[in-house]
Amino acid sequence: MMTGQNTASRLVRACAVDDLPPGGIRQVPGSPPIALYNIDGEFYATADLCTHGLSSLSEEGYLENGEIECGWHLARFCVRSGAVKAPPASTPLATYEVRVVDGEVYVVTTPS
Amino acid sequence: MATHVIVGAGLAGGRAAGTLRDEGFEGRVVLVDAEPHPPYERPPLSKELILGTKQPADARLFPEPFYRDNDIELLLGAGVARLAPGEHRVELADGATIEADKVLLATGSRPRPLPVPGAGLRGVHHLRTLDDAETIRAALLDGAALAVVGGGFIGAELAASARALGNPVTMVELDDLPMRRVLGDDIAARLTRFHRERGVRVITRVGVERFEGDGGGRPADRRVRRVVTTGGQVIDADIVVVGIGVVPNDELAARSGLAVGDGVLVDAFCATSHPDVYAAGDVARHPNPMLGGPPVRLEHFQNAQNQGIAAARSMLGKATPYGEVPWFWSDQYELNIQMSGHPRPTDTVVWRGEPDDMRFTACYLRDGVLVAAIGVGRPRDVRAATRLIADRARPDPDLLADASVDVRHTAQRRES
Repeated sequence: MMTGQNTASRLVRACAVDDLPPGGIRQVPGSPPIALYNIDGEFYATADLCTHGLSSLSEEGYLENGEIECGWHLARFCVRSGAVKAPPASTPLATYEVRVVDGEVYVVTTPS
Repeated sequence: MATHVIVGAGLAGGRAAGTLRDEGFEGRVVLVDAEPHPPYERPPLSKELILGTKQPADARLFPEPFYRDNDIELLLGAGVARLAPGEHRVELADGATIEADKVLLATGSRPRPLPVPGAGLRGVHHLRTLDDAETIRAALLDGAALAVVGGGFIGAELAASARALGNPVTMVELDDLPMRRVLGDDIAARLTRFHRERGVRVITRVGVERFEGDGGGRPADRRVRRVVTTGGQVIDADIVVVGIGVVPNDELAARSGLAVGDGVLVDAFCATSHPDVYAAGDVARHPNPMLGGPPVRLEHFQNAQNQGIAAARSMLGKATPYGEVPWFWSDQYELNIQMSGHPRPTDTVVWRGEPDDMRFTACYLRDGVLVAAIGVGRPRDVRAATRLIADRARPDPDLLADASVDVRHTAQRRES
């Protein structure tokens, strides 16, 4: 829902497209931090902290087949939807809209 | 209506109950436990709960409404006297019975007792339950000097937590080094040094002769004040936590006529010697194809969680073999330690990363095949190694030693 604030102020530049190759993850600093993923050339973003153990998915997670696995306790989430794919997590990850403009990747820092 | 009874509301039992519903079982699900708490996770007991960064409610496996929403009957504070699988009956300690089509034994394990004089003194504890953790935390907040008997993972985690709270800590270990049996000499030595640098007094190669309390009267009225080792050292302590391993709670299975032997014997599908009774978690001894060799009993979080899930599926006729590479973690101070597979002292070790900075992975090769990995602060390495271990991959040792190479990309050839 629009809040009347300037939409552009919630758009954060994450990196250049070339900075994150397919299969890569990087953290977009902020509060809370966001994890940005490149899956086969498509960019996706979720909350960076595992909902079970609060470890950083971008720093310690394992990305495979469109799913991000927490490096600590192996909870798994769908990167596209944030849905829990394996315990011990039970709460889904927040997801964020990603926009690619002129070779730059931006994240809308309000959860989708 | 079919009734499935799960005896034991720990991680394995709780996950099994949830899985029965996830998989569409529409009969009665009854979860029985002698403890008063709904299922909770034990890893926080020695860490976040002691530190106070988590409250007991945060350790719950499922939020409160889960059981009502999923029509899972929680029968807490209830002992089970016997299973009568032939008659499809579970007999409770209070004389009541539950008709049961199938039963899952998830009775877990209990701390191994230390039978020395003074073991019954007030202030001598194990750390196994939520109530244990709360008692220990309260004592530590009062400034208690802690003595940890047994330098296994529970003891080491508790020592780290207590140091973070500022309490004096002494660890007494019978072996040459704490955690040596699991981690091997080199890594155990590094971790022990880490503990010492953070103020833990580590005393090795001695056992406990006795605990001494103050005053007279019955042991339960007196409070522990000292630990006397078999080497004659006297350690002042206001609280003692004994962590010298666990024993499986397999007595119920034994007196119900099921095959046991250091745990309840199960097949690859978690079925016991009776076709309507299954077992999972710490109490189950199962054949693990990833390890070969004799059946094993694993006391890891991952095993309890995933074996409980597999057993529940098997109960529903979806025969699900359980056979994962054993994996566990331990958090001590800021270190995240993970181990996958079972290394042996004769394996060839390939190191990645910076061992001196406690950020490394040790990879264990047996005849060129990756069989185990121990990582400190490198969870991605261990995750990738676990996959290679399952695949019996033969990684290139030079690539493996290069920490800039993804472990996934170290194996070109695989054993068929």
